[in-house]
Amino acid sequence: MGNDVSLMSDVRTYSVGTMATAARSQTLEVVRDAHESIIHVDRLTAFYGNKRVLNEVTLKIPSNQITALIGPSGCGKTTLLRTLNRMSYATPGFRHEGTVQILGQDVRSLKDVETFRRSVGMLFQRPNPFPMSILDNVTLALKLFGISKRRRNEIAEEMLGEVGLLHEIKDRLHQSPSSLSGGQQQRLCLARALAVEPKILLLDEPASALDPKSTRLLESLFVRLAERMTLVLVTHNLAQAKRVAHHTAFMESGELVEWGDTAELFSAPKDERTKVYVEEHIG
Amino acid sequence: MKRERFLSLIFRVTTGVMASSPFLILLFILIVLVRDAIPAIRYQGSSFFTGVTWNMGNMYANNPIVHNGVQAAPGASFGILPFIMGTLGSSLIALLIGVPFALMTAFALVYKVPKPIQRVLSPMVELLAGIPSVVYGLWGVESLSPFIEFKLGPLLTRLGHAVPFLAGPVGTGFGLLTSGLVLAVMIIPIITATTRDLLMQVPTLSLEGAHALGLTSFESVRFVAYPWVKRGIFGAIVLGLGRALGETMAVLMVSGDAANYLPYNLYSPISTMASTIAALLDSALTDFTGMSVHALAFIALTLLVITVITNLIARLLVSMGRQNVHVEM
Ligand SMILES: Nc1ncnc2c1ncn2[C@@H]1O[C@H](COP(=O)(O)OP(=O)(O)O)[C@@H](O)[C@H]1O
Ligand SMILES: [Mg+2]
Repeated sequence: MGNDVSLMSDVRTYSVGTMATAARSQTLEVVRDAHESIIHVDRLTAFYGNKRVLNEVTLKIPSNQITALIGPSGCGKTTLLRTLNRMSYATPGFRHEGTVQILGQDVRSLKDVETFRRSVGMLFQRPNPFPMSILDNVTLALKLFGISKRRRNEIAEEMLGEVGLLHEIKDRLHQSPSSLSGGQQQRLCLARALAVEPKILLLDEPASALDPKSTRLLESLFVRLAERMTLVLVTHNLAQAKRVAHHTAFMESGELVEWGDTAELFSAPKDERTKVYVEEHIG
Repeated sequence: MKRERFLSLIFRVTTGVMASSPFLILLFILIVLVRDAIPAIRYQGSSFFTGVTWNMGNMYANNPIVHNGVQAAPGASFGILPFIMGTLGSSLIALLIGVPFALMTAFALVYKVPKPIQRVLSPMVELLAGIPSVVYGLWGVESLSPFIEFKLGPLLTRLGHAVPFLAGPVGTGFGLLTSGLVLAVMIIPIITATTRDLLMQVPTLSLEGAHALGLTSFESVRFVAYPWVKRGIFGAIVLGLGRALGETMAVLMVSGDAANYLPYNLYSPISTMASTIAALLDSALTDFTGMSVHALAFIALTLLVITVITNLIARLLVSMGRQNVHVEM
């Protein structure tokens, strides 16, 4: 694939520190319900075989904001997230009741899952770059969607710049991603997801395998992306939810216990279970 | 203390011998074959590879001819070009037909078939690989050769205007095409099983990334799974080729046992190096000069060298390919 990408200098150099501050101030500015909801989960009950892992979950996720899903391990966060883009449908034994509506479409009756998934990107718990060059990782999907090589390389450059990789690895674009650090790989995966211009990003503990510095960098990117897309962030790290999320939903044993404005949920939880969990887990 | 040191020495020596045993065995076979083949090389010289006539001579005569200091039966001539062509030709057909089939089967098994069915079908592939070659040979004789003689052959000859090699006569149904097809059927399970095992190793996370990105399942397999395994698949194909080159019994049964001419069309009777050795050993042993057996040893040596070279080239290609494939993660 592309060998002729011209590499201009990265104009988007920014500092992690200022972004993190920006994140915090933006959280404070959140006006609840000013954003229309883009994902409607209505009485979602999900099973693996006979085992019920989600129980009547109802949730509305507002657009162009970050919504965090928190809760103890095994409470069904991943299952909920993966049902939003139908990834869970591929798990043997999975079935669900209730509805999930995204971008006005019922997820269960989608005609064209591939097209749908272009508008719903996903980051996984561990970085999963494809076995091809760094550049090809970003351009592969674009190539398959029939976008010209020139345009592909432009987009790749833009997205690698956006995630702050371009200036770090300018001279390594044609090398394997295996030479990148974990944090860089995860940002590469983010650039790959952004290249197809999703409207929603699903993030399943995307920083759980990363060091604190990489984590902060990734968080600052999420905050900035929330200006133009909706993010759903599964995290076991309550401090992270506090730092970046406008809204937070707390789950326990397959149930959505409580959800609302992040600051409110942490400072004045309405449900006793939330209160206990938050008190135990915030350091 | 002393005893332990002694034991550790024994351990070191045994493991050393074990570790180098593949090399030692190969070396041993090579030495034996070369020693066996030398008289034949002196007798026949380089026309071994260019000669078309294989004739063990008049073995009932008692007046051996002497050439280059070695004895042979009168009229003896050992050209093995037809056997080389038969071997390479039938193996090539086997690869052309078997490889696409095996790869598609493996990909379908791993990615398309529901898990319960996969669990049933998967061991069957191993089962097929374990069927003795004489059974495949019998199938070739009973079913495949009539099919080629009366159905497939006549059909293919119609393309004879465009591709002269496909033109008739179709003959008896025993020959190059039948041998190639039997070999294809025999190597398909090997290549399928190896490829399937490789595909099972592809990280799910990588494939999920592709699906989440909106790639179709074909695209995910082609562009994300395949790069992980392509080197290994190459190895699987070479494994299959090795089997095809050396297959003896099944080919012997369906080859049509040609001697003294090169394959003239796709249906032409052939002989392969392996099948020739098996077929002629009996009568070669009656050669009072012993030269015929030396000549068979030379065929065996050639087959060994071709097999080893094929493997080496494959390995070389693989390691050259390694530099621009990003699979080491
Ligand atoms: N593929 C699967 N098959 C069966 N059970 C599963 C599978 N994946 C997850 N589970 C179960 O479903 C429950 C919810 O899991 P998950 O959604 O991964 O929770 P979380 O992401 O909150 O840790 C857990 O009890 C887990 O054991
Ligand atoms: Mg999880």
